[in-house]
Amino acid sequence: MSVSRTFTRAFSNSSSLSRAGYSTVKPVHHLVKIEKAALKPNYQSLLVPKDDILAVGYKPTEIDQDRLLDHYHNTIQSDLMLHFYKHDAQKISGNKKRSWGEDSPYKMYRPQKKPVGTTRQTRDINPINFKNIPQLESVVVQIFNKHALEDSYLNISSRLLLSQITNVKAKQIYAKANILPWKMRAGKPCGAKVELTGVDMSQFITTLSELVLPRIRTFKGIKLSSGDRSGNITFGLDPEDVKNFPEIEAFQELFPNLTGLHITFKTTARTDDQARTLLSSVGFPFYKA
Amino acid sequence: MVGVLRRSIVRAYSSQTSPIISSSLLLSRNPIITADLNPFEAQYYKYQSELWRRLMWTFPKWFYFREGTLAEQRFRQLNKDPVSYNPDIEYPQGKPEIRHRRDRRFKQVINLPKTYKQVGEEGHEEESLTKSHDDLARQIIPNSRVTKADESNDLTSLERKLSRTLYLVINQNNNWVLPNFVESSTEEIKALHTLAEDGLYKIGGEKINYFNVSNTPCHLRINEVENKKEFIIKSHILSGEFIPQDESLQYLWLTKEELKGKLDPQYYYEISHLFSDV
Repeated sequence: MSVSRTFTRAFSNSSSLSRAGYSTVKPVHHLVKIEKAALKPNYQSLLVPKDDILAVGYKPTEIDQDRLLDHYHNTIQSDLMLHFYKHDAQKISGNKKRSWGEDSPYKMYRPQKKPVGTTRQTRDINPINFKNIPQLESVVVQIFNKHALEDSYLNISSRLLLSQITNVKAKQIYAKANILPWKMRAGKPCGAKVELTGVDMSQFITTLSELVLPRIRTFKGIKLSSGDRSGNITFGLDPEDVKNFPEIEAFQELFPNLTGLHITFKTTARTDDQARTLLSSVGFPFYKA
Repeated sequence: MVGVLRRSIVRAYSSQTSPIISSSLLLSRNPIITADLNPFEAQYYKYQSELWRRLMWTFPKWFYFREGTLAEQRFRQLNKDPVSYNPDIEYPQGKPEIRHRRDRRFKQVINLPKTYKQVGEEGHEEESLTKSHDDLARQIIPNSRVTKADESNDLTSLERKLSRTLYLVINQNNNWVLPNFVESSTEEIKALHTLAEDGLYKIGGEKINYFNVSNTPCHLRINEVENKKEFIIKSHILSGEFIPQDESLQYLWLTKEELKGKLDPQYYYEISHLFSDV
């Protein structure tokens, strides 16, 4: 629920920085590749974030009172802090990369050992205080359209569908892998996604929890088991459920191949449990399957 | 120095008898509607939203109203094309910049056919009588932000000041305080939140649906006069009503500013940080 602000993008990539090798023999070559053409002064204005009045594609973000954000600041935030308070709570350290030891000079610059049992590090879980009360960062809505794998023009309607219900222009997503039984080929457009922040996110959440979900007869709630263990909750809607969006309902003949949606709530909570508490305070019920 | 000494003496004296443990209830009714804006905020949002409308994409009429359909005809009747640009004419107010039948200098206003008659139109009276409340074609009129309780200044109503947080206070010995409950028997010990819940049902009836935020108290107030430790339990009233069971009990639902006038200044000073400004 932070104010939407896209960071200024630089015309360089940092992937080479994370590589192990680094030449210190002169002449030292630049490891960061720079697209020099993009450094032209004419292009500088393109780097300004969209919510800045100087930007080329300026779009005002604070256009009205944000009901959900106000409710969060007035009521939910302080409640969550009290709710998560645990007496004498300690930091729970995540699964981190391990050192090889310091007994040999050869181990000094050696890349660290992987965490126990996994390949990725996990984050520390700190006790909740006024600085780290869970809040919603963004909502990602995504469509996978398998029909578009064969006829790519069918992807237009899924992008349009997303743009209609979220008020944000949808990005096209492409298949990454070749999977023959699914007729999937790398590089084929196969769906759409949007990431919502700010007013658009609040509006989408309100529509979802007040109009769409209550009209689904079979809807019991979000599964209690959903979540990626680090505070992001995902659930899906069927094509039948998508028809309940007010933008779609009256114009169903304009969307001939309706597909389902995947909705992911990205939160700053470190555990799924905290994220679920946050979401249920915003109006999403959960159920035990 | 003398004051400090006297204070320490009083403390030493009071600590000989162990303080009574009690739980106070901070029962609040959350805002129901959006906050009232001050003129500056209202103007700011107005300006930003007008700017947003001005920069908005053109409405894709060709997608929603296919050419040749009746709906499109009706749409065209309601939405006249803007003044087109003629190079032979001088425009003192600025040249029209037409793209897709929209003047790009201004925001696009779209009129859709109405399903109802407006006030002052012919047939409005009959329609309002015949159309039922469930009819989707009816005109949607938002409820007033000011309720009857606001007009009559009924401080005991839960339907007053919809945009503010209200807190329950009761009158005890001619003092307005948060409801405070003391354990009746020393034999069995209740948890603080159950003590508060039982006490609330006892004074306000069982027709209250409330949400207890946490079993952990949000504040500890040391009442030196009565040698009492008051643990404050935070909760919200969701539905129902506070109906005093004892007829002599006076209660009020007040906002933060109103509490400042009602509560004892020292008492208010100690707990004012618990109240919401909104």
